[in-house]
Amino acid sequence: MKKIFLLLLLNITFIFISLSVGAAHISISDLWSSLFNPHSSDSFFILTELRFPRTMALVSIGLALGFSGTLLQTLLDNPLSEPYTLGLSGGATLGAVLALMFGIKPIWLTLPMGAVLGCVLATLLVLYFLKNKILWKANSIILIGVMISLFCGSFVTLIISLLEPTQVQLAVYWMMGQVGSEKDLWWPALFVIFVFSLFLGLRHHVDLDRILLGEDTAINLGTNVSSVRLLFILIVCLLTSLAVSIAGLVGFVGLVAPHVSYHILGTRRHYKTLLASPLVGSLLFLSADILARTFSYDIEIPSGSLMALLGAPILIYYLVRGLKNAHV
Amino acid sequence: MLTFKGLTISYQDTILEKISGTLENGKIVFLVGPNGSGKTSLLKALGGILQKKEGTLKCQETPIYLAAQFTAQSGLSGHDLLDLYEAKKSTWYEKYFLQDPLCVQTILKRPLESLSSGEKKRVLLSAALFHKSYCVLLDEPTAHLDLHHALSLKNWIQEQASCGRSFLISNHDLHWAFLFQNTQTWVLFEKSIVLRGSTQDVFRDIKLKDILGVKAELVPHRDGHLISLSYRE
Repeated sequence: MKKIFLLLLLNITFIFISLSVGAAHISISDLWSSLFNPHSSDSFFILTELRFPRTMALVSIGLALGFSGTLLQTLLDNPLSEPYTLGLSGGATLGAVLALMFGIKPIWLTLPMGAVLGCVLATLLVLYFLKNKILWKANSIILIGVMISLFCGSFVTLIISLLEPTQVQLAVYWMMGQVGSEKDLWWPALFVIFVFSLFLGLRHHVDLDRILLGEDTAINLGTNVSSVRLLFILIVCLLTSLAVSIAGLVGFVGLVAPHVSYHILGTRRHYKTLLASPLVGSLLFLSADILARTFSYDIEIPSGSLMALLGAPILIYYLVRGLKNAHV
Repeated sequence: MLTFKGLTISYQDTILEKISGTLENGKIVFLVGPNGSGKTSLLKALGGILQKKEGTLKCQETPIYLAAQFTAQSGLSGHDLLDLYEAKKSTWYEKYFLQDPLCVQTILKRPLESLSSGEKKRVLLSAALFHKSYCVLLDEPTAHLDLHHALSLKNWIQEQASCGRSFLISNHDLHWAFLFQNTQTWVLFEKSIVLRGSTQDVFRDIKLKDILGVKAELVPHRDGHLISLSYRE
């Protein structure tokens, strides 16, 4: 529990760093003064209108994706599952880009709805393949997920080639995981749903732990495995589609965060990992965005692609380490 | 007491057809049969794990089931396992934890994946035997166990049985089975229970050699019998 508390403290520190870093540097003392003395400065406007929503959007997405990754890795008994590798993010992206293409107004509402719809369809597809137990073995389900991702990705490219130039820029930047526009205003919804899901997850932590022991053992110990699985996959679907509608396709957070949290905690007991993994996810995504903003003030580097640059080596490191430590 | 009637288990093919049986309180029953005769399927069906089944099944509480192998990469330790089996609330735990029949206390801290097959088996057996249920289904419990712990396991099971706990044990290790006193054996073959009775009687039965493909001879010994096996002529 100490480690989880430490992660929380780190998160709060990073939130303050994120509030102060950017094109206009706001020092920590300015931060304080504008908090206690609102309406007095330009900093206050930058903070409340730009930095704060952006930071909280990053935090909420990181939390949601870290949480989703842990759940999927348990429910599918596969260390490579996450919304991105299973094609859930891909489905959501396709839905959202379709909404952009048809341009149904208001876009702030239709884009998330398109994302939810696309994500639900991708989830149903994955669930359909999961019925066949043979596909659980040897990462077949991940291959299918990646195929769904690629399929949706090509579809998205096709759609983008049909878009107006102004729409193209919007769509491309959004897909690369750019945070920092009016879509950020969705963060409270994502945050509230995350808190609700976390509560549900912690209520079922024993059931989730038992699923780690294998389906047979879990059923024998009294867990209704199929209904727990369905419930949490639907929760993951909801969280993913909202995260995608705020920041586009963000890979690796959901994959890396559970592995890092397992490494930090040394256990996969869910009453700990369901708290730690979201916090790690939020830290990762926050630091990616802070890096993106410190590299250059003039050009916006999309934090989603920076996340992949950070995430891929971290993941390979953990996988190789894990293989070395495995008892053969 | 565990009772099942007209139990049929089928996947693509029927594995077991309309079998019935009763596992009385305090009894130890061995489940013997050739590979693929449905021992594991029967145990899983009685443990509530298999859904594809017909027939009636009665038991006061869900029997606890322990699989022959544990392959999950769980990331959990032995202590976590005891928690998940709700072991610390059971009377078996109070009674036997300090005695620690399978010598697991020093390895409970370690992740299950870091244990050797035998150590892992001891931890899993302890968790299952500390579970509160009065009915225990074990699938090849001696697999991977060294001689010393196989013997401790036998003593522990025998002691618990005398306290009223019942055991259904799928087993290929006949030497181990013959160390027990007062046990029964059910022989599964061709979709049904073809022989049942006290273990000594079953292994004296002339039909057994056609089923198992070996001839068994019982040799009197100070604690009961030893079994000697040979291929049928």
